[in-house]
Amino acid sequence: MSYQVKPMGKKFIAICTLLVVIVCAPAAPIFADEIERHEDPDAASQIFNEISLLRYYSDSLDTILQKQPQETENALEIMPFANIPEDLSGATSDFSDYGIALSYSVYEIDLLWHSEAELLNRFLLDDAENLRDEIIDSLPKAYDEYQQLFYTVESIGAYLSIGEISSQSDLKTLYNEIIDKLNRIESMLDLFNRPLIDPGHNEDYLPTALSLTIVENEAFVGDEINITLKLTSNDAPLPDRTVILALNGAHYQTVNTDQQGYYQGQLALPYWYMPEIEIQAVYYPEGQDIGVYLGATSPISTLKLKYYTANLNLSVEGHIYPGQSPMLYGSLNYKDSPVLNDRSFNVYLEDELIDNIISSTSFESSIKLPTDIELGRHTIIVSSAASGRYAPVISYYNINVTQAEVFLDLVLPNISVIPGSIKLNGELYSEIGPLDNAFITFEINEKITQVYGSGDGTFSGQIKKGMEISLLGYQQINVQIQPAEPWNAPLEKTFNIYVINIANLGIILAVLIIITVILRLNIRKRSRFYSKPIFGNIEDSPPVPISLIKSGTDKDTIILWKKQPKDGIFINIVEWYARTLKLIEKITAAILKPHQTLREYAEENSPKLGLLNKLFLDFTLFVEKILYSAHKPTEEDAAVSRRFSDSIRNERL
Amino acid sequence: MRNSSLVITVIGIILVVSLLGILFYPSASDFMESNKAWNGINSFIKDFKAENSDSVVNISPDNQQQVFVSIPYTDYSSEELERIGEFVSNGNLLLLLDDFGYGNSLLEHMEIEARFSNSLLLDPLFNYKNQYLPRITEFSTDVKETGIEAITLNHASTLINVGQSHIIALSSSASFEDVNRNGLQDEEEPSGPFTVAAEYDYGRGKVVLLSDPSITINTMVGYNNNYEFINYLVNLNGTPDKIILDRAHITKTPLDVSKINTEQLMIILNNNYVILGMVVLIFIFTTAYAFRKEEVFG
Repeated sequence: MSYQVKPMGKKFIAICTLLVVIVCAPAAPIFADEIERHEDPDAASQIFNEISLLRYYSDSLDTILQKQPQETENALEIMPFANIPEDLSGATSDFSDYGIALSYSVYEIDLLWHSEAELLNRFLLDDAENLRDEIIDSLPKAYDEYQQLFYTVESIGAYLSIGEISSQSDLKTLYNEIIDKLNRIESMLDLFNRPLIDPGHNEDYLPTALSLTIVENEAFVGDEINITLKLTSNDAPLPDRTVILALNGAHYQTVNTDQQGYYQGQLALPYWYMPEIEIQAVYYPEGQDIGVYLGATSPISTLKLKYYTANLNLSVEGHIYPGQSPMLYGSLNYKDSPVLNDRSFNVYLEDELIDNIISSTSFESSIKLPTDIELGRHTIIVSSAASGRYAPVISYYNINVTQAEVFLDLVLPNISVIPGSIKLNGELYSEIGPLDNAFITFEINEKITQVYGSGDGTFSGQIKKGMEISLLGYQQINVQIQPAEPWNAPLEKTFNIYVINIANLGIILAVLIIITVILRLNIRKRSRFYSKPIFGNIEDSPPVPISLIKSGTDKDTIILWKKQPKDGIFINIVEWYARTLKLIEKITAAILKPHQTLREYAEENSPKLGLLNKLFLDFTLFVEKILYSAHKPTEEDAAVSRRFSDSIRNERL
Repeated sequence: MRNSSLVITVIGIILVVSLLGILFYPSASDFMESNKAWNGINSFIKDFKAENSDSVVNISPDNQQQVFVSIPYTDYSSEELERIGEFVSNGNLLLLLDDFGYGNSLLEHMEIEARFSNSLLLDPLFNYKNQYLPRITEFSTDVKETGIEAITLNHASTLINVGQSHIIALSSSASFEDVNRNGLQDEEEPSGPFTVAAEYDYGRGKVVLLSDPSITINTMVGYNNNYEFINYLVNLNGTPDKIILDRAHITKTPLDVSKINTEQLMIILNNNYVILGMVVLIFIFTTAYAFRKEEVFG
């Protein structure tokens, strides 16, 4: 008899595996450029840019000076959306409020003031006086707004610690610019404050006329220009009168008319490096003229200002690392202007003056970067003060202070055996040169070794590895380098090394061998557990459908069945088999079919029974012999039947 | 247990676990609906009831009052350019959100002179926390009338060659274009204001350009008036019947691609006929198995 085990469905398994791979295989990803598209605002760093704030305020003050209140309002009303520190929010809010209010005040007063002058020129005294009254009423508010604005700027300056900053820094320069513009606004208000007509006038006021003639259309800053002005009243000259010369709306100089009511003289132009200035003469009645004469203004004359300019180009070469000395190169381009010889240049690194150079057109300077300088953006400022016709020159150059990239050449063994030590040798260098005395940390599976590199950048170390839970495979070595030089960047790198844990491998191998030996012995022992009952010629017994046992329809077997006592040994034997059959049916989930013989059922389900297979088959043959042969069952047969049944049952359990 | 049964069981477990993983493991990619983190687009989809589209050529140009939202991080094919052009020309709205310049091919195809500059817009003063999150406060009159005061962008770009009449929003005068992306305003880098949003008529439809797609991500939709601004833009051509999000040009990880494929499979399986077919098959197999058992038990 042979037992045929069905072969595994190899094709079926192969198809299923293929399906799994196809379904679970990762789809091709779709990538685009690797540039940061956005950041998490909740995790973003808070950065306040004070230079940007002051520059914006300086520009907004220009709109006040230019009497463009709508522009001022547009610029300042969006300040709530600026990124301002909480401590400064009050001051910036005040700046917006007072700045907008002052801009409108200046604009309105200026309109009134010019209208007043116009009315006076047309001798509409009542109307002019009304306007003067309006101006007088408006000025206190304007002065108050100005004063509040000034205080606000001072408080912003205090917050930014302006007093402690170098005068050449961007921030200080912008702050001074703001203060200067505020002073000019005050000067403008002062001009408005002086009445052209005395209130409580009488109808006997005498009109005045003031003319201003400037010969030149243009002049260099600092030069003297020839001016002629004439003050008359009803064509009669007004001698010995004080006339104010205003430049760009602010009081600049006071002159006196001669006996003919003229003033002829020279006006020394200020060193204002701007394209043009407006010159106007203003007569305010003073002393005995009050109540007698009306005030007067001349038409505004525009004079083009000339001065020499130069572009200063800066460049930096060399390593911009802490402790290093990159070279700063500067070159002045005067274009059409004459060269100024022996010009003095101050070189600043942020607020600190680091060099002073005397040069005409080009220079170079070694910038020694401090070893403790912060990494990141820094500004180099080179400035040269104004000198006569030469406008000041200032140029900024942004440098990004970084550290030199460090390179590590590490010599690792291809395979390492533990327990034992892993030797680590290598070399450290950067573009500056080898690292001297660098601090190196090696870490593998929480085992740490630390060494110092030598002066030529080389190092040598080892990590001792004892017993651990691993067999074989790659392990990660983390290497951290902390250079001693400030210009070299720290480095962290990871390497993989193949490690074989010889001790654990040996133990596992031994255990496997032991298990295999024991299993083999056990299997053999189980196969000799029972002795096969010996019957004569069992195969000769014809198989009979089991249904006869159950239903008793076959005539011959009924006779046989009926001939046997219903209790006693025969029944006993069959009952033990029936019990076993029930168990086998449960195990195999296969019911004995009506047309099947016991032997056919046993053979069909034998692959499912494993170790029970042989037992059950032998039991089946034994029972067939009892059922269908002429052998008369004995007590011994009943005992054997029981033993078979118990063995199968126990084996199953 | 037979060996083949064991193998089948193991394969089945792997399949089920993989499927569950694909379905339920959240994506971490930008602009993905399944990503509920700060950089996903789940909020936008929900708030605007947008539908995803994985193929541009499948959008129907014949319908009107639709909005096609495209965030291109890959190039458009010529077929896609044609289809989008037709779609807009027939009376729909294209909302093109781009900060890399991939949308320029579409603008060129539609003969619109505006271009995405691909330069980084930084505003060191008007921003949220730092200059990479610029605040925009300058809008056209129509926008201001809706009550929108400010929007916050996130690593935005700018639009160039935009005519005055097409401008919707401008950055502040304190802003600048960081061409070399070093975070500093170098001498040759221009100062603002710059156009960040513009609109153009195209056929019977409209093209709306915005130089920052990040305004649609989960964390940004709620900042300042970002939601109201997006709402204003999608309604520029009238109240839309449908808003379609172009997923075909968004970069995806393998997990995202698997999720999309699984979604499409679920859609197919959700079909009534398919469900009916599966129910019938299960019924047949169950009945056959029951009959077989009956024979065995007699």
